[in-house]
Amino acid sequence: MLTVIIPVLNEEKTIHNVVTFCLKNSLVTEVIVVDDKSEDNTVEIARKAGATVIISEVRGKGISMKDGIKISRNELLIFLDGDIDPYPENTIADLAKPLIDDEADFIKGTFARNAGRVTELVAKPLLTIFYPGLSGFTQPLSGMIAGKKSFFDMIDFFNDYGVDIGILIDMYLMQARIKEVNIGYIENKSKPWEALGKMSKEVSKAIISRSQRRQSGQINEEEIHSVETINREMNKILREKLSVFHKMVIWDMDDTILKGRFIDECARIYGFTAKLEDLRSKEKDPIILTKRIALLLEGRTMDELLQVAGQIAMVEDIKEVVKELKKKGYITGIISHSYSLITNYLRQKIGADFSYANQLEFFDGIATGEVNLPSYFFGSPESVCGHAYCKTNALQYACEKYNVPLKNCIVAGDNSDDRCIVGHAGKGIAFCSKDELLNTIAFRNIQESSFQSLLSLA
Amino acid sequence: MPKTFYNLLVPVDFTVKSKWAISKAIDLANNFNCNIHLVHVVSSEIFPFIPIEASSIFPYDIAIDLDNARVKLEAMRDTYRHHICGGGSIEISLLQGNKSEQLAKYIEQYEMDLVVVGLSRFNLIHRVLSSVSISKLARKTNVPVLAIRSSGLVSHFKKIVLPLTSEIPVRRLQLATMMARSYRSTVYLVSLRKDANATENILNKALEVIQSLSTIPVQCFMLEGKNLAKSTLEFSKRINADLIMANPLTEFIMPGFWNKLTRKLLSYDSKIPVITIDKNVESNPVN
Repeated sequence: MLTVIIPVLNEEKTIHNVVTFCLKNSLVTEVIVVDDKSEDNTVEIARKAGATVIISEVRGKGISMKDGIKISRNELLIFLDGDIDPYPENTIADLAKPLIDDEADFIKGTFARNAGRVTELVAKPLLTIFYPGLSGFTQPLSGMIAGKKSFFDMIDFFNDYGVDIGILIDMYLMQARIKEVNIGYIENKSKPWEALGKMSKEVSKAIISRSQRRQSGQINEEEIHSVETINREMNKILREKLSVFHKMVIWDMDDTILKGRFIDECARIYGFTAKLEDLRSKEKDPIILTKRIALLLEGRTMDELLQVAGQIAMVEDIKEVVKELKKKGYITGIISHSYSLITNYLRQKIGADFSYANQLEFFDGIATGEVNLPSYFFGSPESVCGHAYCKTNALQYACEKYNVPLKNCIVAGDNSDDRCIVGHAGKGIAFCSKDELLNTIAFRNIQESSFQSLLSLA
Repeated sequence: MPKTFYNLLVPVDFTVKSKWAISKAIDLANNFNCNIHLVHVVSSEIFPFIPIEASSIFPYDIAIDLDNARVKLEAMRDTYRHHICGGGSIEISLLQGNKSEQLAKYIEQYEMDLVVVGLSRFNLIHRVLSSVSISKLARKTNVPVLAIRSSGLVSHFKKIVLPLTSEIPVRRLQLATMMARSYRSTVYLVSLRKDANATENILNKALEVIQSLSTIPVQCFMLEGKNLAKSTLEFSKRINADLIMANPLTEFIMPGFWNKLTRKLLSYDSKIPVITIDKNVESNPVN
């Protein structure tokens, strides 16, 4: 009668109990676990617990949900998260009841919880502006939903944090009967603060892009003004909070944190080394070079690229040094001309606070070959160096954002591309560099592959 | 404008030289939105570093000096406060003890970025006897010292001359780049034509450093002559330079026995403002 779909990624600790909990309910005739290529034993455990397991071809919650819907045999579907244990006893019955009684076409589960910053600060204000009809929902971002397959089949899913709000808006626009059901208290993990920015961006994008589609590309002046006001006020508060940081350490990624260059490793594995060398020798414009190199990655999936990055060794003591620097009150970051997919992965691995890099574009988890160059790399009349496209511009942007004077920044880089940023930092470090001029410009040269001596400068 | 100077120090002795220095410091503060610290040191070895508020508890004669200085400093602050139109402010401090030691301490404690000093026309006594001579200050504090005469009070630095010896003076190049970017100036790299190849090499290297750091216009010149300080001064006069950046090395001492004996640095003979940066902070240590 009911199909429960559970999208999962690395949830071996909880998946057994979640599947068992679903199968215990007499209404449930099918449990589908859609795995996003977990690196642990999630798949085996889910199978053993009695679920039908499919592996999603492309990473992302939206695609996993679609995959689950495709193979489901029932008209009534319930989506649950794989990392919540325990669920309140009546979760499934409460979510399914309005569907079974034909009182609703789509159910949004709400629960008393201990988090919800993006809901309160981003989703609700934006919904009030763009979809006043949805502003009454207490948890518009909740992933616990239920609905009719025929309705789900008619909508497109976002493949990121915007998926849940996107479904709610689409159901609303299709004039489906929507009901909010309270299922009790759930211990929900708060997202780390670094993830909140991404989540806010994707949720905002989902709400605003749906609104634009509805009004054929137009957003009225009042709506823009309201969003700008909220944004400005939030920014002001954030700046006040961030002004406690006075010191910053920045690393380049390739040949600095990593003991190798990401693109060179890709070239070696995918066999485009000759092409890459040819491009480097012929193309002198850094922007065109960046764009042409990105084309070489066309068709590669996020997973493949992350695997390549995972194969490159890091400087052994980087995590320890980041931890020490944070203890000393430093804000830590990565500024690289590589790709944000990789720098973010690395940032999480070493525990740094932020990373700035070019954004490789993906469609359904596959690189399109396009690359976006973020505005913080571009010069302005206020730039300290005046270079049109330079890491120093990104450093200056970070300094303004975190209210850190340039002279309180330590920057470590390794090659000619880093001369400017190293030269403008309060203490520039040439790290295992073979570039003679960088060694001349730098405040300190570190020859061994260790960041321990950086701590003495901090 | 890039905020690369945050704090400027002007050692004040209430003479006309201090006025020139303060005027220049105000120009810089308005350009870089930075703070000016007017500091007067009452020379006495008896009492240590004390705050201005504590001056009244000291013995009578010292207290009078301190009181007078405090009143004068406060009056100065009130006069010049209105000249600051950027985001900076004027701070005053009254110190006691050895002048150069106290200034060095203050520079380190409050993170000064530049010291601005006024130079009188006849400065023999100053450079021979003064404990706050430019070379001493630059050496002791690692902070650049800008020496100003009344004739150097132009409000811009459009032409910056940077004389080179046989080493790449990274810190001077960085400072020149920053100031040139801010004032939209041209940097003139000059060196003596002793060995044409070596000179060309050093000029090219310095040019490459500047181009790595910025997009400012740079011109390179080989100068004739035997003394770098003298040739630099002649060149600077010829092109109407607004600023010279030197270091307190022997290469920057004017020629002649008497000048060597009295350590007459380029800055003491120049009507053009000169920034002196210690050579020790110009090169980088290798770990």
